[in-house]
This record gives sequence, C-alpha cells and structure tokens, in this order.
Amino acid sequence: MIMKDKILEVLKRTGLTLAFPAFIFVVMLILTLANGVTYYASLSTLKQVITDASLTTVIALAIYLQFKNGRFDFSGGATMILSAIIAGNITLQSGGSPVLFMALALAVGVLLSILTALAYIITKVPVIICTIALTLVYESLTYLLFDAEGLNVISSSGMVLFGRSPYIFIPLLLALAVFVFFTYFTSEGRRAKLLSGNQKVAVSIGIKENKNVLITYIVCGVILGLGALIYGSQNIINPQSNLSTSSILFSYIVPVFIGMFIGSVSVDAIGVVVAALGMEFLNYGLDCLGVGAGGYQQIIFGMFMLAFYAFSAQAGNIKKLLGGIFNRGKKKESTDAN
Amino acid sequence: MKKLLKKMVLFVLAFAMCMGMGASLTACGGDSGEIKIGVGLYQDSGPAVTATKNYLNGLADALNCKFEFVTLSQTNDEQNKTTAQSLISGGCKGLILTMDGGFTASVLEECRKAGVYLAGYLSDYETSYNNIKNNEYFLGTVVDGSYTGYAWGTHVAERIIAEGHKNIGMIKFPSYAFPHQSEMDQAFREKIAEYNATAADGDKITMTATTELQFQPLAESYLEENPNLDAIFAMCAGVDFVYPTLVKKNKTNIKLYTAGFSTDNDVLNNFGTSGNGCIQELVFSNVEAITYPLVMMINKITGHEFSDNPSEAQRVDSSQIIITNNEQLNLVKTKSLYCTGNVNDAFLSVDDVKALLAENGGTHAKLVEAVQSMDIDDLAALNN
Amino acid sequence: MEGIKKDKNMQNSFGKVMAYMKSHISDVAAYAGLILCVTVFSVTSGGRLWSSYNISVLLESVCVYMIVALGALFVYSMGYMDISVGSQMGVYCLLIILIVNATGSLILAFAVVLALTLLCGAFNGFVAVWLKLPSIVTSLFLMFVFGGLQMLIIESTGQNSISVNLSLSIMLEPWFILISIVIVAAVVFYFFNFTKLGKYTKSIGANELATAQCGVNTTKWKVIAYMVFGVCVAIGTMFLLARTGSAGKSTGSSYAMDVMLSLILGGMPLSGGMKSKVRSAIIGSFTYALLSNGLIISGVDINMVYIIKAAVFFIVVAISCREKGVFLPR
Repeated sequence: MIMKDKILEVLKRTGLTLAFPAFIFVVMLILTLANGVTYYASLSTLKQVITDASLTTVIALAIYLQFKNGRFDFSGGATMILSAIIAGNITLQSGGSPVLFMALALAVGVLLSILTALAYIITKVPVIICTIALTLVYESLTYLLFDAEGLNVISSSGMVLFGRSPYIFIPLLLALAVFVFFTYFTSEGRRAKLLSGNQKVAVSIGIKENKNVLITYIVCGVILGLGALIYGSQNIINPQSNLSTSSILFSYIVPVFIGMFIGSVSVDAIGVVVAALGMEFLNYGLDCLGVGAGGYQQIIFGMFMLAFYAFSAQAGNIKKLLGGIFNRGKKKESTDAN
Repeated sequence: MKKLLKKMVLFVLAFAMCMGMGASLTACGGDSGEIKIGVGLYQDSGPAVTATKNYLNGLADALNCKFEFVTLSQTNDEQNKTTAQSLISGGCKGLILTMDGGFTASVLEECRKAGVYLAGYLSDYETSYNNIKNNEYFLGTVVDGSYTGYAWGTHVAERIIAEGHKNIGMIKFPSYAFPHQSEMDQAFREKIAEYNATAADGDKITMTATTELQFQPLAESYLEENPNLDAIFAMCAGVDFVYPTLVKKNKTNIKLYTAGFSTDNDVLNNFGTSGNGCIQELVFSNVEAITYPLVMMINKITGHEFSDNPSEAQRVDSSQIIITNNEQLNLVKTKSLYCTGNVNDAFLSVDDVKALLAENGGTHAKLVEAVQSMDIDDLAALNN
Repeated sequence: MEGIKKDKNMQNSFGKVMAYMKSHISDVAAYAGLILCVTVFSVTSGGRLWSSYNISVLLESVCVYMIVALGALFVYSMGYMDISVGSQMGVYCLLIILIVNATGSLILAFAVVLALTLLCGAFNGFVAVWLKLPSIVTSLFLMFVFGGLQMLIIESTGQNSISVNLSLSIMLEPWFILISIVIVAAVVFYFFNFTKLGKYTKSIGANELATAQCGVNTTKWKVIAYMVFGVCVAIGTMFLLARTGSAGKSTGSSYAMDVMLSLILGGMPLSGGMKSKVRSAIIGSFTYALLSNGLIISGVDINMVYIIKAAVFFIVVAISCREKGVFLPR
C-alpha cells in the first residue's frame, strides 16, 4: 500500500511537472494548426526545441543558483559573454579544438566568477550594486580584448561541436550534474541554503559566509562557462556596453521564475529544464505564427510571464480550493463506501 | 562639516552655472588653426571602424585636421543629439555623422548656434534630406552605395538566373527602417518575371513572399516553412541575420546572396567555393567615401568654394565593392583598406585628397567622380 | 601657549573631519565622485567643460536624468526598482508626438501621458501587492509590454523616427530647465523629508513588515509612491521629447539603467531605507551626465570610454555603498 502511494505520488509529481510544457505544446499546436502551419508538430521541431532549451536551461540554472542563495547576480550575462569571447578567440588561435574551447570557457568562467565573489566579499557592497559595477567592467573589457572584434565561430563546425545536437547535451548534463551535486550532495550547498534561509542564524552557528559565497560563485562560474561554450558556439557575439548584457539575463529569467514554481512539485533543477522546454515550445510556436520577433512577441511574452507568475503566486489558494473540492469528493466516496 | 561640504559643491556648481548663464553662446574653436572634426559612426568596433579611423588619421596631418570618433545609436535620437552636442563642446568645427533621424534637425540647430557644419557619411539622410538640403550648415551626404536599390536587385537576379537556382527565399529589413530595400525586391522580381516569361516550365524560378526581419536573426521555422530553397536573396545584412540560422539548422547548402560584409574568417572561409560554400555574394561600401563630406567640410571651414559648387546640399551615390567569387574576395582581403586597415591601400592617397580640395583646384564633379570610382574593377586596376 | 592651543584646535578639527568622513563615507564618496569628475574634466578638456555652450548642453542632458531620478527616489527608497521606465518613456514620447500632430494640443498629450504614468504607477504598486508578486515582475511585465508597443507604434508610422509638429524649444532654454529642476527638486525634497509619504516609503524600505505592523497601510503608500514617480516620469518625458522633437524605436530605452546608475553614483542604497536621500538623485545625475560629456570633450578614445566609466562607477560604489557588519549585504 505504501509502495503504491509512493508510486502514485511520483506519477502525480511527474505529471504535474510535465504538465507545463505539454500544455504550452498543445496550445501552440492548436494555434499553429488554426493558422495553417503544419510543421509545428514534427520531429524537426522537437529536435530544435530541445537544442534551444539546452542553452536556456544552462543560463537559467546559473541565474537560479544565485537566486536560490538569496542573491541576484547582475554580472552573469557579462561573465558569460566575456568568457565566450576570451575562450573562443584563444581556441581559434590554437587550432579550434572543441575540448579546448570547453576547458577555456570553464576556466575563464570560473576565474571571472572568483573575481566577482572576491569583489563582493572585499568591498562588502550590496550584491546587486557590486555586480552591476562588475558588469560594466566586464563589458568594457569586450572592447579592449581581441581588437574589439567579439567572437564569430558559428560555422567552424569542429570548434562549435558542443553547440550542436547531440553533443550539446554534454555541457547541459554537466551543468545539471554540477548544480544538483552542489545543491543536494555537498555540505557547502546545504550551508548555502541555510545562509539564504536565515543569514544571521547561519553565520552565528559558525557557517563561514565568505567561503560559502566564494564556492557558490565557483560553481556558478562552471555553469556560466558551460553557458558561454554553448552561447559562443551558436551566436555571433559583439562587444557589449551600458549593461546591455543584462538583457541576456532578463531574457532567460522567465524560465527561472517558472522553473522555481514547477520545481516545488519536483526537483528544482528538473523544474528549470521543463520550464526551458515549455518556453522554447512557446518561442518556436510564436516563430511559426510569424510573431517570434518584434512588438507582438514582446507583449505576448510579458503577458505570459505575468499570467504565469500571478498564477503561481496564487498556487496556494488554488491548491486549497482544489484540495477542498477533491477532499469533498473523497469524503463523499468514503461515505458511500461505508 | 556637512554644511561645509555641501557649500563647496554648491559653490562649484553655482560657479559653473553663472559662467554658463552669464556668457553668450559661443562656438568652441580648435587649437592652433587645426580643424577638429567629429566623426560619429554607427558602430563602435569592427574593421570598418578601424579602417575609417586609419584612413582619416592618415590624412590628418596633411590636411591640418584632427578627428574625434564617437559612436552613434542607430535608433536613439536623444542619445545622438547628446553625442553631437558633446562633440561641438569639445571644439569640433565640423561633424560627419553616419546616422540621420528626427534628431538631425535639432543637431543642425546646435550647429547654427555654434557655427559648426554637418555632413553625412554612408547615409542617405532619408528622414531629413528634403528639409535640410538648403540649410547653410548642412553640406551634403555620401550614400551607402546607390540611393535607389534597383541596380543591385537586378544584378542579383541576373546571377541567380545564371547560377540556375529555382526556389528563392526573399528576406529584407522592415521598410520603415530601410525603404530602398523594397526597390531591390521589386527590381529582383521584375527581372525574374522577365526570365520566367520565356523559360520552360521546369526552368521557372519561384520566389517566396518577402520576409521582414525585425533586426533579429532569421527564425528557424522559416526553413521548415520553406524546405526546398536553393538560394536566399537577403537584402538585409545576411551575414549577421541569416547565415547563423542556416548554420544552426545545418542548411548551408542553401546559397546566400546578401548585402553586407565581414572580415571574420568564419565568413570568408565559407565564401564562394570555399568551406561550406554557402555565401555567394557580399557587398560593402568603401570607407574612402568619407572623402566627400570631408572635402566639402574643409572647403567650407577654410572659406573656399568649388567653382561648380552645388546650390543645395547633395546626396551623392558611392560605388560599392561587390564580391562574387573567390578571386575577388582574395583581392579584397589583401588589397582593400577595409580589410587591411592600411592607409596605403586606400583608393585615394593623401595627395589625391589634397588635390580634390577647392583651394587646390578641385571641383565638385571631380570629387563625386572620385567616390564613384571605387568598385571591384577599380580595385583590381589599382593593384595591377 | 597659544601655539599649543592652536595645535590642539587643529587636531580637534582634523579629528572631527575624520570622524565625519568615517560616519558619512557614502555622502563623501558621492560628493568626491562629482568633484573628481569636475576637476579632472576641467583639466583634460582644456577648460571646455566650463564653456557656456557645454554648460547648457550639460543642463539639457542632466534635467531628464534628474527629474526621473528624483521621482525614482520614492520607489528605490522602498527597496524596489522599476526597470520599465525606459520603455515607458519611449512610448510616451511617441504618444505625445502622435497626439500633438493630430490635435495640436500639447496639454491634451501631457494629460494622456500623465494618466498613463499614474495608471502604470498604480499597476506597479497595487497589482504587485494584490497578486503577491515581487515588484520586479510587474516592472518586467511593463517593460516587455511597453517595449513591444514602442516597436508596433513606430512600425505603424512607417518611419524610423517621427517628429512633433510643434516647437518645444522653450523647454531647452537654460533658465526654463533650471527653474523646472529646482521646482521638482523642491517638491520632492518636501514630500520626501516632511510628509508621511517620504517617511513611510523609507520605513517600508527599512522594514516593510514592521511598518505594516505599526498600522501603516503599506499598499496605499506603495501605490502613492509609484504614482509620484509616474508624475516625474511624465515631466521627464516632456523634457526628453523637447531635446530632439522626435522619437524612434529605442527612444528612452536606456533610462531605466541610467537612472539606476545615477542613483547609485549619488550614494543611494538599492535596498532603500533611512539612508535614502534626495541629494543622491541630484549628485548622481550630475556625475553621470558629466562622465559621458567629459569623456567625449576630453577626446578619449571610444574603446576606452567604457572602461573609464566602469572604473569610476566601481570606485565610487565601493566606497559609498560599502556596508558595515559581519554579514555580506544582499
């Protein structure tokens, strides 16, 4: 009986987790079919969505890791862009090995994240202000390195191996593994959770906050490095200025919000993956409808985000309401049985 | 102490205000007779920027000029006005701006106040030209290629017909931003229709409806919607907005004919018969075209005038480099100022530019001829 | 004897100065940043910083930053931020142009924009509380919606940018700008320091729960704070439009970040609370506008401009926003 309950619980949670992308897919399928688009429900679409969701997931995980620990790191986008530019250009000059690209992206991502953490720890400036300052610094470096040429390696098929299916799943799985391992299986991960829950208590019971922040940033650096690898493999990167990299962050923040909610009925990392999938189904559907870019896309995106967030914020009430209905049903059933 | 600090700052600011309010508005001249010219480019980095800087700095001493480079926004009028104002404040006697928009009239008003001149570079000043062509502070502009898009549209259609492509994707930027791309589109379709009128049924060329890109990369679904394309005519900057999608979707077998250029090896190594052979045509305007506004400006500031000076500010076409094969690409890579950044590779030497000045007997006709004699054949001739 | 007394007095004064510096490091850094910019650019620009023309240029660009930043003060003092203000201003500029060109009435256009800013303010303040959303989410929503609207409006006009058929040049006269800034600053100063609005917004920033538990209707004051910000946005938009008389696809887009950077440069803590001061908006706006202007008139290379701005910003915030205590500030 207990086993059965457990299985039912797992199935229920899995169903709830997958409900989001499934719902989006069905809605977009109906809309595309109604508009005469027949190729939305195809294997090619699925492949494309999964590939695109990989990058979304990795970046969302990096944002989420800091979120989860009570911080909003503004410099994530700049760290990723600068890592991609430095790692990509050095790799290009050294023959274009994809493994070297990955190793360098990880190294630079970690290095820049350590710098961010140190700046935060040493200056003791509120994290959002400190990371805004570092974003400006990292962005300005994109103009000073490699003749301000940015990075364009998209068609160097060997070098961008990890930006394409199926190899893209290697950085994706690595990022997920690092996130899950750190969050659930390390003492620092658990300490980070304590710190985000109640900073004062956590510090007073002896958790070394500086060390914890540094380690969290290193982990975040690894994920951002993997993000840089995929992003640099798929996009032409130009030098950035005036906090323009923050738009990268904001464009990937919606899956974080949604992933946090979905994660409440599942493992949060899976929530982010599933949210990313759902968002890519939405994006691809909008593309098919001819509103994948421009004004309408922005408005639809904004409304979708608000609606979802409002829904998730009311989740407790909805659950209570649904719970009441279900319980009434159950009570009735049990009465009948009696 | 707090009050003292406040007072200090207030004093400094008040001093500044008083100076500002008390004095009349005056232009800020350059030092030692040197002509300082502000150059506002629409990009802040890249080979075109490097080449423009190198070219102008190479001419600076001989022309007794000094150049100050700034970046303009492609869509933010207010920011562009602020930048132009700061250049005037910095002592520029002339402004050469690559951007036009609703802000141009207000910049010209600033120019009037300060006695500074404005000219355009690689821009047709579509928004303002008719309203400002008679403004004494506007000296004209040199266009990014031809003012109309008909010639290039016809040229690409001829190539497509010659190459035997049958299913063509048509992509451009929105008309509100690039109105002349509609002319390219129209000319292309007319030429193809002309061909189709006499072609056998199996040889006829089909074209998709023209897709407008909202300054974002081509949607991947486009290639699902149009699965049988042989070639794409991207009137917009296809290297940046179309090619990445073709690569991502592994559809580099589709041939890309596009405006724009890039010195990235990623692009150059996949041109013509090289690499994946996706990119078949690239186009760019020469940075030496800046000679037109530069000469017009120096003439005006030094008080000289061409004998055939136009009565109103002109909008002058410039010749473009159109690259259609690997041989031409190789020539451009090794011998054009755009790619090498070497001022010695420029179409016009320091002496050539000096000779174009009114004070040295130059004429407007010669100046126009100079900026219209810089195509791929001219480059080949120059290096033979 | 008198010498020793003098020495002691001097030591005392020095000690007082140091003690003041230490306890007001945030203010000192903000002032020092401004004075440093003024001093350095005075030298590097060869005196052009002080030319009459440049002063009027500076006033023109400072006024928009400052008016919007003064309004934003109420929102930031609660520890919130509004990242939609840039795209809102872009849409408002376009609307003013369209309305003025259609009706010839600037007053009507301003009234419409004011109504919209108040509506957005109410939305940001009330909907966030009502739906239990973080303020960043409603602000992000408005950013997406207004950004989209801006693109659609400009596309519908068929032009890259549109111009207003009415001269707004009087709004660019230095005296008009100065008077406007002084009036807005005075009103904001009054409301921020001498009314319940300022008291409660700072109090919400310091501890929202405690404020609510003291019987303050925090929702009401949040809505009012956002609406006051809206009024300043509407006024700032008028000045923004007056600058070029035109608007395009990304007019105003940079203002959300510019205003935030200005406030931070002025020593504003983004967490809000009692340390929030009106001078943050004033000093920060001047420093921010000076940085952009001074670097160009000093002839600094384009690629170096960004790193210099970043370095100045980093140094100022590292000093002005440094927090004491054993915890890392969030």
